[in-house]
Amino acid sequence: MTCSGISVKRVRPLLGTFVEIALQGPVDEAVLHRWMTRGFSAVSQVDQLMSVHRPDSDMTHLNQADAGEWVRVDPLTMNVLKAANELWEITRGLFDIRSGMAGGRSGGWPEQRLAGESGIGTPIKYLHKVPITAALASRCSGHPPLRFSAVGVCKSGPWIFDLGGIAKGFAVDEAVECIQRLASRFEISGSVNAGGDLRLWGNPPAPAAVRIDGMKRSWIKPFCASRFAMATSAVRRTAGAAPVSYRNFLSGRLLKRPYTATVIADRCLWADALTKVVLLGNKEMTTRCLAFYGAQGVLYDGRARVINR
Amino acid sequence: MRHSTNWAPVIAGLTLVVPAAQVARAEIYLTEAQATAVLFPKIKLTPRFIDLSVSQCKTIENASDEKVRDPHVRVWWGRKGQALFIDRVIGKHDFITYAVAVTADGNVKGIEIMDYRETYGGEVRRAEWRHQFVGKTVRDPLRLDHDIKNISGATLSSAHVTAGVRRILATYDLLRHQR
Repeated sequence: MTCSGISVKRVRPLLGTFVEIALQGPVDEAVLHRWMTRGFSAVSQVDQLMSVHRPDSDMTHLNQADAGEWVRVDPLTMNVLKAANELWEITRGLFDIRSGMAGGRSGGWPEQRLAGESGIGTPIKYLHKVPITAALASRCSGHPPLRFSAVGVCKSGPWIFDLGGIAKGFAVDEAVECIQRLASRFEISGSVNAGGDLRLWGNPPAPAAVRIDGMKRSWIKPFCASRFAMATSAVRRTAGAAPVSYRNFLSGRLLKRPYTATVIADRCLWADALTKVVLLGNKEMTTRCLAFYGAQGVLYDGRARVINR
Repeated sequence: MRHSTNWAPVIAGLTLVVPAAQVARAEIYLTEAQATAVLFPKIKLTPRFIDLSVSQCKTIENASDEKVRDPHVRVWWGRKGQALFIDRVIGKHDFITYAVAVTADGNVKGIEIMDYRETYGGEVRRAEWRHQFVGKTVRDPLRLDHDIKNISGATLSSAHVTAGVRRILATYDLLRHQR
């Protein structure tokens, strides 16, 4: 079964990055464009619900709520929050969306950023600004970040959340599933790529690549596959690019040397979250978490060499 | 275990020692006609290209907090005041061309990237690195624009485009009364 026919590709700026959708199949170009537009709408919906930069998003409402206060959120947001809680449990607290530092990525507080996708607006105000140490103390006490009920969701403490990469991974999954539903009667192949969270489906196997950042340069690792979800996260120290580092809040260790973690899974949501586990976890945790999600991961050092641990 | 997919063949590929390569990627996504058809389907648009005066540039810069680098504005107007702007901003290393559809009440209807070029590698700002790269991609088996269309980890910020859109909205606000 091979997909052929018209192929189209479009890019829109969403989720703070460029989201690229490519489709190929034996249908009219206008139809492919229509399906693509629906795919972009799915990504945009996740952006509107889960961005911490938007003053009216579910995540902003949750961040502005008191600890223990029940907040009603969209079912899509609820799905991702439940996944975040599950990841917190499976990784024994290594993956954590608290303090605006999803998965331990070092960054600014959400309230320091401007509201709105266009950057127009006033800074979002939060009731609480919790030091990292307080979040760390709670992790050690074993309380998950969230509680759920039929009413909605509530924070287990005065936390500020940032779903970060898992919202992006979820958005890619939503776009792919939306397009696959629309195109269910056709042999369509395609890809959705949002800032490195990449999902491919259909035949024939498509060439793809992983970008690996070193201290002074970057590399491209090519491979070929027909159906997968992949995510890549990197500690970046490349000249000319904004530095990115990750902190393991369980041990306090800050990962600054250039490492790149790539994970392949069934869904980009899991793949994106697990890149943080591969970057920050020890061998036992990494093996256990990857096995739980049926995923596989590769860790590269700053010279694009595979690290076996 | 939650899932049981066998990723072994893909992972085997990722762990192979493959010669490292640095490559450029130039993508053209939409032509002007395609961008118009996607953003304003079934609406007739009339081109009207404008050269902004110095004072108009100043007004737009004050309203958007963005520098007007090119006073030549490419805009297509609809009968009811809708507008399609085609603009470009400097990305990480090279220009990004994009289209912005603005509704008659001044809101963004949609944004489409029309083309952009990106280069992977920290040395791209060095002229000699760029020079040695030119012409070699034709024979390079890793030509991204032909062979590798999907890169995981190639994160590009869209901040420069969103800043450009802010400037476009200020431009629309200024021009809609003068069209």
